[in-house]
Formats: sequence, C-alpha cells, structure tokens
Amino acid sequence: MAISRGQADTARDGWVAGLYSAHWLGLVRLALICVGDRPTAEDVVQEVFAEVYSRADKLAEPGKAISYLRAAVLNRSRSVLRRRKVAWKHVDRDPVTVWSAESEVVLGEDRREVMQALQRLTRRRREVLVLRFYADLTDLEIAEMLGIGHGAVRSAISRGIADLRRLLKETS
Amino acid sequence: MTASRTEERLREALGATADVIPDTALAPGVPARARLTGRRSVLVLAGAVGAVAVGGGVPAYVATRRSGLGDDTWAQGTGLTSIPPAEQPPYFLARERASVDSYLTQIRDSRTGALVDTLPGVHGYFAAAPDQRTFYLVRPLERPGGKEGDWNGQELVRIRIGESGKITGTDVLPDTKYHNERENDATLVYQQLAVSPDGRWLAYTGDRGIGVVDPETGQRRAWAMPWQWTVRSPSWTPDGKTITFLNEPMYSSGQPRPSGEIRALDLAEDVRLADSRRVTKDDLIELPRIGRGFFVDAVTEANGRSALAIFATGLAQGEARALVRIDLRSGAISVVDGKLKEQHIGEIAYDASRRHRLVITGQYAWSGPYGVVRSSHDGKLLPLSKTRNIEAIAW
Repeated sequence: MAISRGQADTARDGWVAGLYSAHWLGLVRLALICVGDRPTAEDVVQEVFAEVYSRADKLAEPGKAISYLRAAVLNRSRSVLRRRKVAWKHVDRDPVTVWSAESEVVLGEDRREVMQALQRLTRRRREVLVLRFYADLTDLEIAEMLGIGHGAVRSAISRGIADLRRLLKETS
Repeated sequence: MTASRTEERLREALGATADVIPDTALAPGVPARARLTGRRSVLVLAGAVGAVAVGGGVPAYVATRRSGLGDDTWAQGTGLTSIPPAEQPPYFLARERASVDSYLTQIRDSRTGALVDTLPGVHGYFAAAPDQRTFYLVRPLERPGGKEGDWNGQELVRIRIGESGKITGTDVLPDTKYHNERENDATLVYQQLAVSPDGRWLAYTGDRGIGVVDPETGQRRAWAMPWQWTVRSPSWTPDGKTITFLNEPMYSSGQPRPSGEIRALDLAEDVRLADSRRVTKDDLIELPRIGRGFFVDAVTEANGRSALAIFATGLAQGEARALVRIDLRSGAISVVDGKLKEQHIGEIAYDASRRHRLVITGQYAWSGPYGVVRSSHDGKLLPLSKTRNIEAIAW
C-alpha cells in the first residue's frame, strides 16, 4: 500500500518529536560542556534538531539517530568555539561560561579548575574525554562518532588525561 | 593512582557542569523548524509584555529618551508606537545573528526597523559616519584554503548607501590590511570603531591599543597599552579632540573582576596611552543598591562633559545591569537607572548629533529575545526588529 506524502510527514514529525523529547536534555548538557553557557547550548541543540527535521528521510539507520545527534552537537559546538575566536567579537558579547571566574559559585573552585584545564586541551583530546567520561561511550562508539580509529581514541584519552594531570599540577 | 584521581575529578566536574541544567528543565515546546523562524522570540516577547500588562513580571523592552541636554528618562516599553523626528538618521546598520554561528550585516530603516539591504560576507564591528550615508566595517580575512571561520587577518571597509538605503558602493580603505602571522602589532588589530564628529577620522580599539586612521589615505597614528590591559569602547568627544575608552586589566581566575577604568586620550598631547587621563577613580566600583560591578560599554554625551555607561553586576544569566552617568572631569558616577534586572542592555549607539540613541536589549546575551528600540520626540518608544537577534548597531 502506498504511503501518502501527508502520512510520511506525520510519521517523520512523530519520529523527530520522539527524539526531541527523549534526548533534548542530554544533548543540551553535552553542548553546555562544550560551549560553556546554556543559551548557546540550547541554540546549538535547536539547530541540530532543525537540521534533523529537514533531513529525516535521509537518515538511513534510525537506530543510530542518537549517535548522529551527538556528532552534530559536537560539530555545531566546534563551529561556535571557532567563531568566538574571531577578534571582532565584542568583549561583552562573549557569554560568561559556567567555568569562568564570574561563575565560580556555579561549579565551585575545584570543578572549575578541571573544566578550565579541559578547555586548554586540543580539540580532539577534549572531545574524546567528554565522550568517554561524560557520555560513557566505548572506544568503538567514540571512534565511529568522530570518524577516527580505535588506536587514536585510546591515545587521545591517555594523552588527554596526562595533559590534565600536568595542568592540574597533580603528581604521578 | 594519580590517573584515576584525574579521571575521577574529570568525571565529577563534567557531571556537575551538566547538572547546571537540572533534570526538571523542559525542552521548549515549539517545534524545531518553527523556532528557527524567530517565533520563539515572538512568544517570549508576547509573554513578557503580557506579564507587564497584568502588573508583574519583566517587561520585554526598555529604552531611553532625551528630555534635555544630559537629562535622560528611562522607560520600560509596552504598547510602543511613535513617529520619529525627521532629522534622525534614516537608516542604521545592524548585525543580526542568523543562526548560532552565522551573522548577517544589514541596513535597516530607522523608523520601522524594516530590512533595506544586506551586505554579503562576514563583517566585524562597524561605525556610522555623520553624513548618514557612510559606514565603516571591519572585515575578517579568511586564510586561503582554510576552514570556514579560520581568520588570519582583517581590513577596514567603507560602504556607502543611497537615498533609498541601498548600498551603492564598497571600498577597502588603503593600507589597512593586517595579517596576524606577518605582523605583530597589537595596535593594528581592529575591534571596535568610532567615526570622528567631523567624519574625517576613524578611531579603532585593538587588542590593547587605540589607533586613528584617515580613511582617504590610510595614514595612521596608534597608541598601545602595556600587554596586561585590554582597550575597548572608543568614543569621541563632540569637539573631536579627545577619545574616551574603557580599559580593563587582565585578572586572575578566582579574583574579583575589576570594574575597568574609563580613560580619556587627548589627541593634541603627546602622551603614552598608559599616561592618558584616568576618569574613574576606583578599581572595584560599588554603587549604592546596585552592588559591585564592571563597565560593559561607555559613550560620551552631547555635552562633552559626561559619558553614559552600562554597568553590570552578578552572573551572566542572573545579571543586573544599570545605566550610569560618569562626569568626565570628576569621575563622579550617578545612577540613571538601576532597576534593569533581566533586561540586559547590550549596546547603546548614538547618532552623530548625540541626540538620538538606539539601544539593544535582550534577556540573554546570545539567545534573545533581542530588540532594538529607539526613542521618539513625544517620549513614546518604538521597538525595532523586535523578533530579530540584533547584536550590534550603528547609525
């Protein structure tokens, strides 16, 4: 039986709405860890869902939707961070991140130090550490999401932790 | 094992950061595609205005008007309609945040906020010339073959608009290209711009310096602060002899953010920027009923004796902002309006006469609802571009 366009649209709406209600909070938290402030994190996730909505029919494996969404959030967050580096940004327009000095009460000194150190890592190491220690993903899942090999994931985790230890002045 | 301790600390910090958004936080109930059209801003605006109408909550817009030289009235906006005086600049330049990582530079009608023209490409800060037809912009230069957003230089660009507000010409100012990798002069990095009252000079603040450029020849004069300082918000006094600016020392994490100084650089005197006249007296300014805070923006007023400044306190998302006036001679600070919690005034832009202002307001610094409001001759207030994420303005 042929499916009408209206029925297909309704199915797609329902599928995206389901993803949205199930994963919005987790994805906003992931984006927050990457970009540091809630309004931007919410915008990142909102735009990811808008993209998913427009491309829903092209997602071949609905079972991998969450993996796709996480990767898209990381991509958008990278883009935000790149833009923030542009010299023309008004000083005041840069949002105060949850790990900045002004927001000390939000996280507390120790956690803020860790988050600040995390921001100083290379992008690859930072993302891999977030996916492992926040999202609890396996090496395989991280490798698939970032499009890199297992060895590269393991190496990034090991080096990232070593970098953090050095930045936090912990002794080995 | 230390690695385990590092991992533990990391896991704990990531969890705590994520918990900044509590489990009870709800996803916006507006379909994703609809929200991208700006409907969210409309909804929030409608809710906020509604809250005011019933006597509580936070109004959506605030604006200022002049009722005499240096005599300002601050008002909160509800039911805003008006016809502006004919002498005001007919168009303003705005940067709209089109999505989380893309921006549009636009010419808009000052009376209605309507979009008149859009500049292709990415632009940085900008300023309006007193002829009401010329604007200057910073244009980032992308690294050849690099990724999008990978800037490695800047140049200054001039655009001219016609009677209709449409762009009639664009040119790069001579000798204003700057390449990060080839040059190492902090006074050459352009951030914010300000055109002199006679339109002959363009002032800019860089990472830690101030410069003045002749747009016709590219001739330049620059001043640098020691590296521990950042410089921003350049503003000419009406006589064109002095540039006031905000100067903020770098500070260590965990230390209170300094208020920053307002300084005045007299162009006729041969002084280093660090020896320019300091207007404000204290490093950490505390205002009655406002609290301790820092300056966000400052602009000199038409009388040449005072500056209006935005003063901020608190955290970014619970931040209160106040409009204050600073006497440029004595440094005395008076509060024009200190009840601006949740309003988040972002920027004030005067026209060349200094008699009219545009003000950006919004609940959050990044995600709107942003509004540009202007004042009118009869004291009523007109919101412009109320559903748009306008981040910067010049007129």
